[in-house]
Amino acid sequence: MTDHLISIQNLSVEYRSDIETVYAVNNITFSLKKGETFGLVGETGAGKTTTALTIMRLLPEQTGRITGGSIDFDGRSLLDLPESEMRSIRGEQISMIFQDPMTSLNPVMSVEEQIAEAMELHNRDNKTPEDIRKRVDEVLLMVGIPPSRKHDYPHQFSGGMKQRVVIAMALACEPQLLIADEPTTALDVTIQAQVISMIRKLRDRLGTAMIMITHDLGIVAQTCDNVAVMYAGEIIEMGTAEDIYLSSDHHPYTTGLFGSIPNLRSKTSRLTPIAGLMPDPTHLPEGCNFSPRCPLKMEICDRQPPCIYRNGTHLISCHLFEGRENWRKEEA
Amino acid sequence: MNSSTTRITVDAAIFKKESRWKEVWRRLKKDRLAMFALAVISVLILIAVFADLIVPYETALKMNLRQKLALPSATHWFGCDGYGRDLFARCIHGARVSLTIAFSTAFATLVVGSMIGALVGYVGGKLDDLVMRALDIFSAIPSILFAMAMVAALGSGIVNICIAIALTNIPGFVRIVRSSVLNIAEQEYIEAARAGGTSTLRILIKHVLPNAVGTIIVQTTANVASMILIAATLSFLGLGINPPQPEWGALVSEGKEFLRTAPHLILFPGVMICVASFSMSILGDGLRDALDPRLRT
Repeated sequence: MTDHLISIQNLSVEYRSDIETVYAVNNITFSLKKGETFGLVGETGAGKTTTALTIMRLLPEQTGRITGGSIDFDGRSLLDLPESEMRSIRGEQISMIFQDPMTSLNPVMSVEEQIAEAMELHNRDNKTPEDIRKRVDEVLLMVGIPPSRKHDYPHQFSGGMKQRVVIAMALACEPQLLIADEPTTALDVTIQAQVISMIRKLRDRLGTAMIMITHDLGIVAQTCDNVAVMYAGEIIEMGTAEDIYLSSDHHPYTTGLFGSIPNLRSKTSRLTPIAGLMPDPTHLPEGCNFSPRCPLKMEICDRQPPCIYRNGTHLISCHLFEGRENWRKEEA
Repeated sequence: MNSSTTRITVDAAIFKKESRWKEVWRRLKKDRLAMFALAVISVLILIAVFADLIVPYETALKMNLRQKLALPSATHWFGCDGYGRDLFARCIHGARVSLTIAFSTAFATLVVGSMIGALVGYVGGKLDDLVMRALDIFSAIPSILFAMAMVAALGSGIVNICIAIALTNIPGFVRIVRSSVLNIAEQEYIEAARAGGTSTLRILIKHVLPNAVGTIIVQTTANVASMILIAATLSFLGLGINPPQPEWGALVSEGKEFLRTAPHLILFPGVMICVASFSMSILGDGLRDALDPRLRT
């Protein structure tokens, strides 16, 4: 356990308003070793971004509540740290890449100022302004932007370039953990491939651990060591990339996700989507959250939430695996 | 062919180095009306600053009953008032008082209004509720009435009239800055700044306010225009300025007694008020267009 960089135990998060309570994240557990990449996959609204914001402690103050669980980062419990200490962790040890590069850069600051900002804030070893400027040039080169453009403003960059700048900002302080929240969703496919391969190269070079949040299973396959599939705020299947991509045992939802990917080898005229929608997060079903959409639904699924079943590194939360060969029930 | 290629690259180079304010200035320069308004305002400000060099202050106070209600002439360009004082000198020195009041109150409103507006807009919650409801009470009172009550309570004098006018204008300014800040605070780059470990105060100063600067500038320009009018109104009503000190509103007030016999007494200061206020409004409009990022090329 001690070699984990970050370990999240039984984390639950709710958004509470006067009218209703949204159960955004329910009892999730996962951990990352140093330098490892962890994929968090799921539909829109499955709680992926909420998980990321909780790690950063950036949940909206008015409504977001952490109702249970713990997050240990490098031997410290993040949920108990005072805000001032949390601030010194953000940007220096954990940094985040946001979904939309078009809006995650400040339009009135030059690129240089924005990249330098995190370094100025977390200036432990008393770098001179000169050093910081040099470092800005370095990170810009690292993400493939000529340093001569550092005086430019965000509106003078294309979308892919902006995302590179955002990545440069996130990596400027060489964080131990990088959270990438759908870093390529807003980009077109060719740029996506460039950005992903760049993120991968930089991760390998700097040894940064990474949580990759995405709904694109292809990206996960390219980048991640371990993968968790989230559905309605729960992790319903988790394992190494091999477990998820090569094993034949899956949660019916994961099977459905793979069924929704176009296959280049077989000839199909239509994709098979998963019927129905995610359950209303204000009123989750009593039994398994996926049961209303599940093609393999059994009678027990409506009554009782499933336990977690384990086969080596592969974990699945589904009643189907009760008593199946090689699958053991995990003690809660 | 060759020269046009060179020109394009040169243009591109200029464009790349251009900062946001140069860009705004470039667009403002294209707006002829706004540039004309800017020129008028600059002239008025120069007049106010160098009033003593144009005509000595004594001229504005020296009575000469033989010249009473004299029409405009070569010696008295704007004619003379009921006491035979030179109206041109009074208008020039009145500009000094009127513009000082307008600009200083606009500046005070700008500083106090943006600080409160940015703070309540960004922090939100109970503080926001409290401050905004308090300001609602302020703005429920008609502004002229409120300013009159303030002057009555504080006593007359330029400083007090400035305080009164600034206080009546702060609620509106706070509301505008707040709404702009609310909008900015939801942008992803603010969240990105927080994720980079930036403190609330620094986010407010370095990320939120610079993005609201456009709104603040436009609103301040509009404020100057309306403050010229409010200052004139108050001194027309006999509040604030002590006679015989010249002020545009006071000049109109003095002249109204001779409306039938010597209409030029209210015409000249009236025109000054209109020109100053109107130019500020036009400049404000021009600035708003120049700052609008949707028009950005």
